[in-house]
Amino acid sequence: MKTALITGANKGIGFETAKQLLQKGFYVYIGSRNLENGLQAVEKLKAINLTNVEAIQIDVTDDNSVKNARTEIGKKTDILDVLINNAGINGGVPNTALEARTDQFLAAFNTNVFGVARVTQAFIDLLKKSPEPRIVMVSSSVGSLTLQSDPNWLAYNFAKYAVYGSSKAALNMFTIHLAYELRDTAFKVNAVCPGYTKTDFTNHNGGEVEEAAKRIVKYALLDKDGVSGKFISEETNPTTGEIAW
Amino acid sequence: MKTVLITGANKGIGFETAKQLAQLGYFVYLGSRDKAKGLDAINKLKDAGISNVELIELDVTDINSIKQAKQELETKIEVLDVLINNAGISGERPQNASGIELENVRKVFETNFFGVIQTTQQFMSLLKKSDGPRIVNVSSDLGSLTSHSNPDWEFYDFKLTAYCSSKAALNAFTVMLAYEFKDTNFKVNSINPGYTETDFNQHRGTKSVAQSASLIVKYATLENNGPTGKFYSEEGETAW
Repeated sequence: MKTALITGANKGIGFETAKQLLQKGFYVYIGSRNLENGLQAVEKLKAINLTNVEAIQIDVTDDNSVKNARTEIGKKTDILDVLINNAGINGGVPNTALEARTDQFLAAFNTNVFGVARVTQAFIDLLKKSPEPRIVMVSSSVGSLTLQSDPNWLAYNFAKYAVYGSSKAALNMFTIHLAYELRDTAFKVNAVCPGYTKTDFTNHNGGEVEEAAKRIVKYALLDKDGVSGKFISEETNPTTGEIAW
Repeated sequence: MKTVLITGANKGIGFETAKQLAQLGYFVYLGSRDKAKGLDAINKLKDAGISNVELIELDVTDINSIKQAKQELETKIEVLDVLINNAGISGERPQNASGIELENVRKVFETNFFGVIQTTQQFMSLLKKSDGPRIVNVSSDLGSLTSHSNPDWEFYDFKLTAYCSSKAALNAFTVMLAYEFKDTNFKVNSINPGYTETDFNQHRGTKSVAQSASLIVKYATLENNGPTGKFYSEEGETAW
């Protein structure tokens, strides 16, 4: 049975992604900063007969928490096939370049960039044991500098989230570098935008979580000919999914 | 006389930029973290007959230092025309994505990204008083996500995770800031000076500091119809 770890999986797109991977036969570790919330998510899944699932406490901003999560998962499995770096924060308000406070930038980068690097580094050894390891970085088209510079982009005027957008641009660079480092291996590492989705993150505006999770699952299940080091937003480009950085 | 503040101006490209702008008639405040090194730089310029320069002690990673620098500058001038966010560090090596120490990543971001933001925000009130405010964020083509995805690019293997992602984030800040000012005379651009012979690369760079500084000067002295929110190298516009 293939295994997957999803950070921030107790709710929203992370939770729905867990559900879909379970339905595809994966064993899923639900990463949650708060164990209680993680356990509740597991109960919800078990209630619909998805039983190959358990909760793992993981706060991506905390070295010890990530180390403990790695130790715990290491006791249960020798191989991790899929890592989905889904945990993220939007950085709060104000979110303009001039008004956002440095502590907002720090907090967002701690979770969205340094946190992803920390988790990825901690689990890379288990991933390397998989015959086809997959890493999905949950990114956002808001992190596309090309789109943000294009006055014709649909979200040009209302997605100028300076904190969130710059954190995703940095995450994208980390994605490219990791994919580069692993380019001669079976790894596939991509940055995937789930699209504007109805979650707590967006005050429940946007598309359905099922659709968003489907976009992530697709890149968690790439076959050996799949892409790596790409930036995917099917919302922006329904044809190939690939979008400009 | 137009005024300019350059961070990290005691040496390298920052110093040379200070020199060129002073020669163009700007009054230049050389930001330097280290007072003694800053004064050395001022003395070098004065020895070369350039007197319209002054030192401002400034550590971009320290909000109190930035606030003090701003207070000091306010006693001298009412208007700041140009801010050049030049101070930057490359970080320790190695910097491969799967192994880099997170402390190293954070440190690079402190200077190259958070430092630029807090400096820009603090000096904004003085810049807003200028008829044609200019901000140059000294970036790098190593911060181009597009280039890093292109195996044919000459620096494709220069995968310095901390440095490159800090510059990608900085470029995002440039785009966001330029957007906020799109209906004003502000011009905000990210400039890639190129691979320049400085301490940064143990003087292995192939471009002279004079050449690199002149590119920064070009975007610090843009006309009001000049571009904003863009990323430029000597060869022209660079893909993000």
